[in-house]
Amino acid sequence: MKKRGYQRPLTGFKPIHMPSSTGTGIILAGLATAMGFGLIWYIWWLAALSFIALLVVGIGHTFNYHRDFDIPAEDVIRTEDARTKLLAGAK
Amino acid sequence: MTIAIKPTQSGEPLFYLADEHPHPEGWSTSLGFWIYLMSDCLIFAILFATYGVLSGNYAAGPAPKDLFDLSLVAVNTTMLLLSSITYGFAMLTMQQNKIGQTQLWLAITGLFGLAFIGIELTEFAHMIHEGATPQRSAFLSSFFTLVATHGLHVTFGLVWLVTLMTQVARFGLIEANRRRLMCLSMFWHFLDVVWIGVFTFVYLMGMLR
Repeated sequence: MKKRGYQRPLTGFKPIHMPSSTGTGIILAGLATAMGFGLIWYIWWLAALSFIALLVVGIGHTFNYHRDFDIPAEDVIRTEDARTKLLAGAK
Repeated sequence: MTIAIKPTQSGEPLFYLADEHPHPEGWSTSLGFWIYLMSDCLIFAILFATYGVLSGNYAAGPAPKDLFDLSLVAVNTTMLLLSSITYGFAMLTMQQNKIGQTQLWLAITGLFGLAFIGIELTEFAHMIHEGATPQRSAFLSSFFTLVATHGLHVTFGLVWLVTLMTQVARFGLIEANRRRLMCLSMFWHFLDVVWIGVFTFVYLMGMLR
């Protein structure tokens, strides 16, 4: 970007839309691994248990309706201003 | 969204997003859900093709004529078609913000779906009792794979339906729940369309063989 003449903007910052943090993905991955292990080695109780757990965690996740948030514009401006100062100081 | 294309000093054009376009909640859900439905459609297309190839291979075992009870299948088809109509009523009452009626129609849809699954399981149990198990012949392997995959979809649709009814009861007909009900609506109608295919190609054409 620098090579193509990108100019770092100093004004006009807007709020940044962000997804909320969640552990569901990694939990589902762990349960799916357990289920896969159970299926491969014929450990049916493990496969059944982890399958039910997958459903419960998956459905439980849908009860969380607050999936995103915005970093307010003031925070973005403050962070970028600090960066501008830092860059100016470095010269 | 503006894409800035302006020549730099060296004369090369410059490509970057000058403006971040907004991503309101749920803005891409229907596109993603359609992609899901069509990938699901591919699964059924493959299972139909497999059945088409194998449906004549009875291995000296029972043929469709010996196994299928068309009147039972007709009742089953009616159950699923009625559940699609009642889901349509649920969506209409949702548009009018009538939460009680929406829940009632969803519950009726669930009962029809449950009846469909119950009749299908009865049919399967009857077939297996007569020795027409999936292991018996290529025809029966592909039959059980195709029809049971559809049945499993309906079963998970019922789990989904109960989940959504709980969420509507707890949080009301908020935007997110309307979107979810719309997705389940498409899923449910999609399964209905697939069943029309099963009914035609597996049951009706099977009796003609």
